[in-house]
Amino acid sequence: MDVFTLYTIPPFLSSILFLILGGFIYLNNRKSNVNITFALICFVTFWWQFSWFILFNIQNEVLANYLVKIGHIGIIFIPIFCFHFILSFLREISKLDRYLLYFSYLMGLIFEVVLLTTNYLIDGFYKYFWGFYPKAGIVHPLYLLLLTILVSRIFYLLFSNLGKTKKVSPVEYFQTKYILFASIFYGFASTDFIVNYGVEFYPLGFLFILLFLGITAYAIVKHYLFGIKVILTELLVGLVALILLVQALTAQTFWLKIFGSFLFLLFLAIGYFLIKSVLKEIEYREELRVAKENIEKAYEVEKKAHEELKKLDKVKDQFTLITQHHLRTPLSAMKGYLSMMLEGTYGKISEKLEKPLLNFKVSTERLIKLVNEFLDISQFQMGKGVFHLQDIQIEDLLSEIIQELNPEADKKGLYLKLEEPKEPLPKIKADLGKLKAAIFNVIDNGIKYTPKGGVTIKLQILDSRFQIQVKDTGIGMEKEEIETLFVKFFERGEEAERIHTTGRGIGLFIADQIIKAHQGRVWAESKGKGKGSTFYIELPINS
Amino acid sequence: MKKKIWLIEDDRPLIEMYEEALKLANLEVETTTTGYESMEKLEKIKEGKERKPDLVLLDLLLPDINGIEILQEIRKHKETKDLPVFILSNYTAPEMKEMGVELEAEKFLLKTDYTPSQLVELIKERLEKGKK
Repeated sequence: MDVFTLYTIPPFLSSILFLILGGFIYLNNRKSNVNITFALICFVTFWWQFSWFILFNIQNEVLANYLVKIGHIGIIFIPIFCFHFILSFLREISKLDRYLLYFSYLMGLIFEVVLLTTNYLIDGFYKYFWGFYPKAGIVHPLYLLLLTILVSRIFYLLFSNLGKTKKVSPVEYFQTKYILFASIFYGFASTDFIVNYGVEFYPLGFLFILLFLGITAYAIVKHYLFGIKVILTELLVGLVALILLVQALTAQTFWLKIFGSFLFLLFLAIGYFLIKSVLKEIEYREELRVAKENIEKAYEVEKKAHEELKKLDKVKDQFTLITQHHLRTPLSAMKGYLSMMLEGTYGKISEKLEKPLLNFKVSTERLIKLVNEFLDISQFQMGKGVFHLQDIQIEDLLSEIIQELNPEADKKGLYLKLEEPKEPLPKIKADLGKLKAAIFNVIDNGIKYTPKGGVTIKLQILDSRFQIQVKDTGIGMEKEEIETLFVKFFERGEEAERIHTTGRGIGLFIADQIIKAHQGRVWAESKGKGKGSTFYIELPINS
Repeated sequence: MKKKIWLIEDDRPLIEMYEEALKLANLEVETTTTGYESMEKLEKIKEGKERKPDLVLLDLLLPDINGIEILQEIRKHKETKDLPVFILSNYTAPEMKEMGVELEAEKFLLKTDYTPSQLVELIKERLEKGKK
């Protein structure tokens, strides 16, 4: 009698395919519960089908009595493993399902004991036209009841998950859909049980489990079920290798056997590299996907932060601008009324009152100046200092500044001189208003701290830079003072305070910021107290 | 007839101060203190119910709207679009200044920079020029 017949090939084929599928899925991720439980389903299915393959082949009734029971060792656990697999896949397990799972395992064990020690579950066999087949014992309907409960629960869970994931997770939605299809086909395989009750109908369950296999394979490839695409490749390689092996072993002549074995080994080697390269590609793609996701996430975070900052900046901006208005309004009134009083608008001022009013006016002016400087800084630091570059003739700018500062110097009896090269200088690109303010502040500072003598401004070209020297005969500075000159709102020690009380050094701070923004630099030198100071401003000619 | 100055300003001490200085210079002053009031006045001027002022002193920050909106309205209508306008404010946002220039405000004056008599001088100068 032939081992492989029309009736024995189906269980043999499905058993081998399930063994391969289960093995690969398990090896692909040995830690995942989803993979483990699925591999268990495959293994018990293999067990079942392979037992039937042997059962359909034998003639010995004593052996058949054992085999019908051995086959059922696997069958009993099929619905239980299926249920366990679905729970692992869904991840969120309710208390009810957890208890049902424990209960099923317990029942499974009880059925195993009953199966192996009594004839209540399987009571011998039928002899059909294709061979022996197990006969259901008296408690077999109880097993069918457990099976029905588990299958109903599986379908209920899958359907509700389908509804849950439809909108939120397309991948999980499709995975659920395929598992549902696969489960339906596997469910059909339970029609085999009618054969246990004396219906002489060749068990077609294998057809359904093969469909289950196909759908699972498709889901793996298309929808990353079990997170693996490589399985199909492995499956294919495994199948071809198996065919080659069978061919080699069943070859008619010795040399054909050698040739077949060589072919088999060669294919194994090629298959190994094929699988490896596919694995590598998948790994690479996964890395790419993760990297892309990370980049997108980072970009989102950055974008949000940027928007927040912008918003904050705008609020700050608005705040400063409104504040300046509110600070200046009462100051305008103080200044205005004072000047009108002094002008005699409200009647002649007594001589006694005139002096305090004049002092009042000086203080008010000072306060206005401080507020303006403070606002200049905040406006400048807030990026209100947008630069509008234009071509500037630096010597013209210097003349203009000196003209504006001349009255100030005159008042103190100081000279204010400009020394410039005779040949015309190249133009520079700069923000006219801001650069003017910067140079103005530096020269103004020189006048402020010079009680007698004067200030000399010298303009020269050094390599590719302009250098403006502002040399005064003033109070000079110690080394420590120079260091903090541009850094913070300094007070130039007691000497400076005595000579010029309104000085707050804010002008130098602003000058430094502006010159830096023009890629230039500003610094000061002094030989010490009472020996005058020289301020240097350098600007690149092509700035 | 006295020249008429339209002062748009919301700070009471400043209103009194500027009114005093302008009157002293033999100028007529009419003041509005909100955007709403100013728009109403503008409407009357347009309809000929009120004599057109010779110059407008315009503050930028008003309790309801900003001065630029009033200036836009002034420039919109043919009866008022040639009005000389001095922006007189302590609000110095650069974009406001730009808008002021665009809408042909003739001067952009910081209140703290000018005493009332200096301001009057500037106004008189402008009114003289207008005569010629």
